[in-house]
Amino acid sequence: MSDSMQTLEQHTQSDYKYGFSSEIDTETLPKGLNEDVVRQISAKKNEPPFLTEWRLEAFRKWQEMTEPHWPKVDYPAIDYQDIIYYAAPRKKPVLNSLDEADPELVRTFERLGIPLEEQKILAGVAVDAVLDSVSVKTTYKEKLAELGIIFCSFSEAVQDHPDLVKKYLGSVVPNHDNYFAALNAAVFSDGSFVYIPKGVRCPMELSTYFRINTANTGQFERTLIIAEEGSYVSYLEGCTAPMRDENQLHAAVVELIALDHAEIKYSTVQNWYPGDKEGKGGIYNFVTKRGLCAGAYSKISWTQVETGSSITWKYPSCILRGDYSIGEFYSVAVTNNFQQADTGTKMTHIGKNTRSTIISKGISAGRSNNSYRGLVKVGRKADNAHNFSQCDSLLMGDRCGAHTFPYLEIENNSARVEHEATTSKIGEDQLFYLQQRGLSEEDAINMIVNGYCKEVFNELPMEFAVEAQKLLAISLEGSVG
Amino acid sequence: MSIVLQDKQASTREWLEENFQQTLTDHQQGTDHPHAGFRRNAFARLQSMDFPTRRDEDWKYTSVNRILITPFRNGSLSSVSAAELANCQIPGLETTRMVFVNGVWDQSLSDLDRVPEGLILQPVHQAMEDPAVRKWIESQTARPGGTGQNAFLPMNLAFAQSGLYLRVGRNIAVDKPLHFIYFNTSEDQPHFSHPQIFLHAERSSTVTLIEDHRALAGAGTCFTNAAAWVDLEANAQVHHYRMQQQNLETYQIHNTLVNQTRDSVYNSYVVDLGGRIIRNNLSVELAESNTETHFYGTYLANGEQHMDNQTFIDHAMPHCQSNELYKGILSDRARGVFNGKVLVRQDAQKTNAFQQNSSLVLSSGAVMDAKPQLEIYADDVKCSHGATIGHLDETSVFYLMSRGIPAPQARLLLQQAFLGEVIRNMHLEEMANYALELIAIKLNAVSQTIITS
Repeated sequence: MSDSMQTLEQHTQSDYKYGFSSEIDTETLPKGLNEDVVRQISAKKNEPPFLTEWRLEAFRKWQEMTEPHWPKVDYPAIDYQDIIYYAAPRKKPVLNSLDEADPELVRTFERLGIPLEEQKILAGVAVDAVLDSVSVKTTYKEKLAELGIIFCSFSEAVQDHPDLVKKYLGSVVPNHDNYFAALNAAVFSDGSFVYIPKGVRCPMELSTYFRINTANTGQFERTLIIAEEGSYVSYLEGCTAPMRDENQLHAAVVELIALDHAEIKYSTVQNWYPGDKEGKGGIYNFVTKRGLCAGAYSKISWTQVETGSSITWKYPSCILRGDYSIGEFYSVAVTNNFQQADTGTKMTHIGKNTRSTIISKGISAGRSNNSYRGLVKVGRKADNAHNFSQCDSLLMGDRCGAHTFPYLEIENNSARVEHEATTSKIGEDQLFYLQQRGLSEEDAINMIVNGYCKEVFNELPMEFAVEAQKLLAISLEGSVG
Repeated sequence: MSIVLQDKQASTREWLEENFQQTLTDHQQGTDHPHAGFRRNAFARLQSMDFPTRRDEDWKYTSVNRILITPFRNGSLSSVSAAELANCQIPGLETTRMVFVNGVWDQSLSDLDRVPEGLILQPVHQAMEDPAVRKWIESQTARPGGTGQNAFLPMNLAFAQSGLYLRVGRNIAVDKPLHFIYFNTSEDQPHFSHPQIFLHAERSSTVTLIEDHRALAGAGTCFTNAAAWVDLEANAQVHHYRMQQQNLETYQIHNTLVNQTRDSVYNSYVVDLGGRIIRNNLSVELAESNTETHFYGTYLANGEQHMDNQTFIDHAMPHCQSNELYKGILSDRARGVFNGKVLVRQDAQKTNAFQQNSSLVLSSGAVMDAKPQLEIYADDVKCSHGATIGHLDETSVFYLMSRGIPAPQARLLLQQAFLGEVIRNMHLEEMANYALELIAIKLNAVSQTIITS
């Protein structure tokens, strides 16, 4: 039995592995949301006036908006006044080495499987670990700084590089873009900020771990990545969350900007707490992710492995504005038990000779519902645009659902748009063949599922591919046979 | 709904109300006639419903505002010349012909004496006098109907001048196709018509129905709001053709609701050539197992034409097959819409459902919106859909040119072949040839305007 299969088996039979909560002293604002809360968050973070105004503007617009209900997901109404909008580790340490960090915190990281020291040496990955909302530790900062790369928490960027923040914040996802993006804009507490200067190829994978820690705290992250002309960056985002019974709201915003000839590769492994087998608890993951290919020959590539959250509502998108720009979307979404996922992408072709590729693999098991919802839009002036979309769904069990809602809106006659989708279960003949070769039914299914997702896993950076295979296996138990 | 929209729809309601009273008096059926009550119920339902707007997901790409602002009146019978009637002859195909002018059945032009044996053909108001038939009709109209459920259905039921009830008896195979010709002719003011068909195919019967919608020269602005209810009993077979050649000022909305039971086969063939705004809702409910359903559709739009095809297949039972192929060509500033929805319910194991939509967009002003949709709740199924939107393959054009065929002709040939892939699935060769000919005529005309402009 190969490694991947062992892990698959482990996962199908194990309960949520990362379910624990660390007890760190946190400073929290009272529950509820009003202009004062927004002002307080801004004040606590010592933000310049333009940002405070921007938050308030978002909050006012948010109040006028209504929560969208078009996704094919079902959940009890969210009481937005029953959420704590700010939580930060109270002792904000100034860290030069790991020893100075809160020992409890270090232990949390160790249990999460990201020992910072070890990663520094072995993986060569710079980790910006975000616990709850405030960035605590940033490694490799000096090395990156030599190249002129800025990789820091959002709050630091606001203090140290306000001009960049002011120029690019909200340029891809405006503060009134949608209900959850507006909420995020009003109350976001922290996130990551990356700036790659002209012509620089980032020598390592940048990565950050998000973790919801304080009970009842919605986490509102905001990530902004700017790749200047001719630069390249690969960014990894991975999520685990401790087991909680109450639903937690996660409304993040990610903005990517790629200028001429720049390339951004954004990979996500999402494993928030999916709720228990009865569908109780779990994270609501309502995320707005959008990349702007602003320059000619720029490229943005989204790769995601979505296994967690009780509800996922997420459409990483590309706006292909520069001529010859490229957008890519590779996704594996796994749902089990009572999970619901409504995910996909939007490719908006504006520039000439733009290309986009969409590969989406959905796996549904248990009583879950898994939907692909995507839009390919070719504008009137987007000559010679080319899109290829493939969305496959795999059904494991007779109580689950797999749905595809692709929208193709084509306004240019030189466009070439191809969409195909299939839905099926694992073939009896395939299973029979593998079993006849001596594999158990379980192993055979694991092998087929792994093969099914290979196209997407191949797009993941090495560091993530292993973890992705582990996560793929999430709770497929009971769906086998 | 916004206030502006409410105001707009309120004015629509006004002219509808006026018309409805007129329709009731015209038909003088008396208050106790079952059909009058049926109309009133339908009108009450129409009043309780909002007309679809672009905010409705199923009508996202098609606005009916343009249709609703015109105060239409019911059309009346007018004469159609023998030459025009002869024009409708499908070469080589002998049919039983029923002629409707402006929504009114012209019995003098119809082959009433040649109604095949085993086929009952009656006006709906007459058929409703039989309680059993009335019950059947009411059960058909009470069906939920998927995407077909919109205000235009009750509108059809309330206003139809000459709805027809058809019943094909047990084990009867009607050999000659039924050819229903719907003419729109010129009237003093814009008129609407409501072609209406209730088709009941009893156990092991076979029938072919051709709906032929056309406009005579100078017909002006018309609105055809057609609806068909088809009920297939076990092992029945229905071939349903729809040829649409309205003029460029005509709006047409067509709702077809089909119910299939065990071992039945329903085939739909649609050729849309004319009209200003065309919207087809085709919904099939597979209520029992082992059925077969085929949808073949073509649309050829130019100028300002807008053609919208919505299909819905509800796989409720196991072992059913459905297959859908829609292809179309758009040029000038035409808009095409395709929304194909396949729902596979939890019990519908062993379902095979295929769907393909391909469009050629030939001019920079033309727009195509496609939305092929799968909703699947059963695991042992094979379902796929594909959608492509593109332009003519220049290498194929080059190949044909290298064989001595001039470029314009090469393009025509490729376009004909593109739609031919759909047309050749028609089970009647004569219909296929006829459709190809009509397509060729329109393609020629379109390419002429492109060359001269």
